[in-house]
Amino acid sequence: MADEETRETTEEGLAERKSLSRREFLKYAGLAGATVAVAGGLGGLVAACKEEETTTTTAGPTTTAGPTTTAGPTTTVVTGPEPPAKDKIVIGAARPISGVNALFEQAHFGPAYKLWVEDVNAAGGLNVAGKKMPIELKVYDDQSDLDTSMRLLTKLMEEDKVDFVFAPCSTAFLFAAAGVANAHNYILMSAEGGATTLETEMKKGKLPWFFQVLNYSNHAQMPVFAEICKELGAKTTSVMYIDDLHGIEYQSQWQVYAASAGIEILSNTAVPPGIKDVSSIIKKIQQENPDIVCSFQYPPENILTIQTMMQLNYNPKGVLVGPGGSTQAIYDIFQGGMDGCMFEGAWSPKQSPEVQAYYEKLVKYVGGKANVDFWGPLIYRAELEFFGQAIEKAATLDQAKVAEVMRTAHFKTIMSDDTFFTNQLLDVSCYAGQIGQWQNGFPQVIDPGPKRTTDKIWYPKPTWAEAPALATASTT
Amino acid sequence: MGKFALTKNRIVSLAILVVILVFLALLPTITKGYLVTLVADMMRYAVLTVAWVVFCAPTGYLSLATAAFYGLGFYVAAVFNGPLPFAVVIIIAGVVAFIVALLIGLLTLRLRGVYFTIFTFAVVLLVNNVVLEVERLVTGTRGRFVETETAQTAFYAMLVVLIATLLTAVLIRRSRYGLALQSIGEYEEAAAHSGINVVMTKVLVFATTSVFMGMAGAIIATRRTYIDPGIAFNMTTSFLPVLMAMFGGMGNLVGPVIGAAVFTYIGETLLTRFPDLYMLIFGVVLILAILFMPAGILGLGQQLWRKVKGGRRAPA
Repeated sequence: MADEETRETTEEGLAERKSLSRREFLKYAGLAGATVAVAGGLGGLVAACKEEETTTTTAGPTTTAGPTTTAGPTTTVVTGPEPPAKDKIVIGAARPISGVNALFEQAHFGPAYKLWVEDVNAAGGLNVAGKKMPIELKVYDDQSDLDTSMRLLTKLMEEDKVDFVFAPCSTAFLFAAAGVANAHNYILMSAEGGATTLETEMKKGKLPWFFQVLNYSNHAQMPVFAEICKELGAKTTSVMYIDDLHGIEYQSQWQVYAASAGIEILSNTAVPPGIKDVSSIIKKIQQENPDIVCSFQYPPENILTIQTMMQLNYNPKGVLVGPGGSTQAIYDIFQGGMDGCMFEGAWSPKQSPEVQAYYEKLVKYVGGKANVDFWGPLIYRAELEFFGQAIEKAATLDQAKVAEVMRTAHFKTIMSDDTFFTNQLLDVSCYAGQIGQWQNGFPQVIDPGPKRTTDKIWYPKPTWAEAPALATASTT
Repeated sequence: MGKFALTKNRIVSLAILVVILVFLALLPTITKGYLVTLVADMMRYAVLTVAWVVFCAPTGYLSLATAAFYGLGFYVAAVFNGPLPFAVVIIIAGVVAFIVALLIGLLTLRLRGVYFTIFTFAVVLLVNNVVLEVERLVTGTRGRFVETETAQTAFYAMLVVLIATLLTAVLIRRSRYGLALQSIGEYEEAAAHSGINVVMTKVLVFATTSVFMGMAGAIIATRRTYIDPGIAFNMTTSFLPVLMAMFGGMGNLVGPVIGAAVFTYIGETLLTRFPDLYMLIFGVVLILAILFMPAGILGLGQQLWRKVKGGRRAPA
């Protein structure tokens, strides 16, 4: 035991073994008491600050709904909702300014919300109960880390007390954020991300504040793709999918809708993220000789897959490229080689003069055509326009009232004259398209029906060797 | 057993500890704001760092397996929270982490030095991929929704786990296992020859400290709504406790707690106030800390205290 005592002394360095006099004991007890009092005081201060904050940042209208109980007669003049006391609307977001998802902030939802805020502020702000309120953004970098993202989102809601929040990036973050928003009674409209699994939670009534905007596998990309394949007379398909939530969901939904369209799935291969060689998988698919190859993978894996098909000179009649396939950047990498490839998305600048104008504005904002994606940006613009109109119609910044308008109202947006939510999912009819195809370097919507922006779907697609020549010919 | 003498320093330390605990216990009743989330986060890292320090500091074994046990806690919460009471879920998470750590320990703790570190790093990837494959082949999905708990519930649960971690750490350090770990760290062969069951000691302490990592994971998962293997087995969770322990100092158990709290707070402040310079400033702070505070914040504090004390006594 003596040894142990010695060890402790040398380790801690400070422990001096002295017996304690009564006076000294009282001194230290007093010191401890004083520290408790100070701690208590600090606690009280925190509480006081909290109360003060609560009273100074009231977002909603200041109208009193209940009856007054004063003795004298009161006259109430009904003049409509009063505008909020504050002068601006603060919208917060925890976005991936750095980390693996940074590209999405740079070229997807990032430019969409910044451009929208610029446009709204240029027009003097949103009209809330007759008061023009500009928007101020408070954006934190979540470093593409879920823990950080959820903590910052909580900070925005609890400490910064922003009026509204924008969604974080990617499906997993969205799922987690939906719970945080729910716990704080904040509206959360999705940005990049979305999945079937959220629908089940929404149907259970667990996410009353969540609104899903971006389209995804069964909402309604795979159903539309199955219709297109049926129209083209495709009978067989081989699938490569990224071995994560996204890939698993897409391949499973494709199995359902391919079967309903009478299309046989010859193989269904899981590909680990970050794979460096897919040649064996492509060779196997080449032997199967399907009509359509589906690549439900992420941009790096999709690039590798296309590259490998080109190297092996494997030319299936149709190729559907997942995330990244809709970006001008990937089209440019292959210098026209992707002509004829189909992609998940989808919108085309051809759809209307407004869309064309927005496309040009976006190109300017993101610094060139290469940074434009033909899946999300138009949908994001539409969701933001819808959101702004919902706030104006609600004439308040009160989350519950704005959410109620969002659940029921129909608004005209850049994407559709009638934009609305059905069970908190953006209605399928509102999308500009679900599936696109690169034709002469231009994105075309190829959904069956009036949304199609081209006369003809390229099927079979040009060979990898033919396509660049076609693209060059069309531009010269 | 040696007598527990009431020295001046001990009374002051105990008084400070009591004040901190009282403050922590009252915090959620004082404010329901973001402070509760932030302090819970600090406590989370304190649990992970103290648990890491108890085994790694005396032995000199650099374990990077923290994320594996922490992530298992996530999955235990995803599977059991809701059907079972939260407290039971936390205990199950601890038991699962203990069993897995025991198995891993039996395999790895015969390794030493960089081999042990690389193996523990690989363990996280292994557990991650096992979970991925089980989900893919058995459930056909990725990720799970978690039954959530309130911020206050998670806060108190984390406080209890933190206290349990600190108590266990103190008991281990004061027990013969603590001495054995130090002997192993100084000269493993000599420790073995002096009669210490080296492998059993290492495995047992490694598994015991993993219990708290699993528990912390189970608590945090209930604040996340949704988890998937990428989220649960994030390698950052393995690296942060190492940095926090270095930052705070590993000489005793106060250092890791201070390191976790200060590190979390600095990170938070820089990230929200200087988002563009965050990485740069944080990097510089870390480099300076390693260069000028080899014994961490606590070591620096002790050094300054000795100087002040020495200065007072010098004239006499």
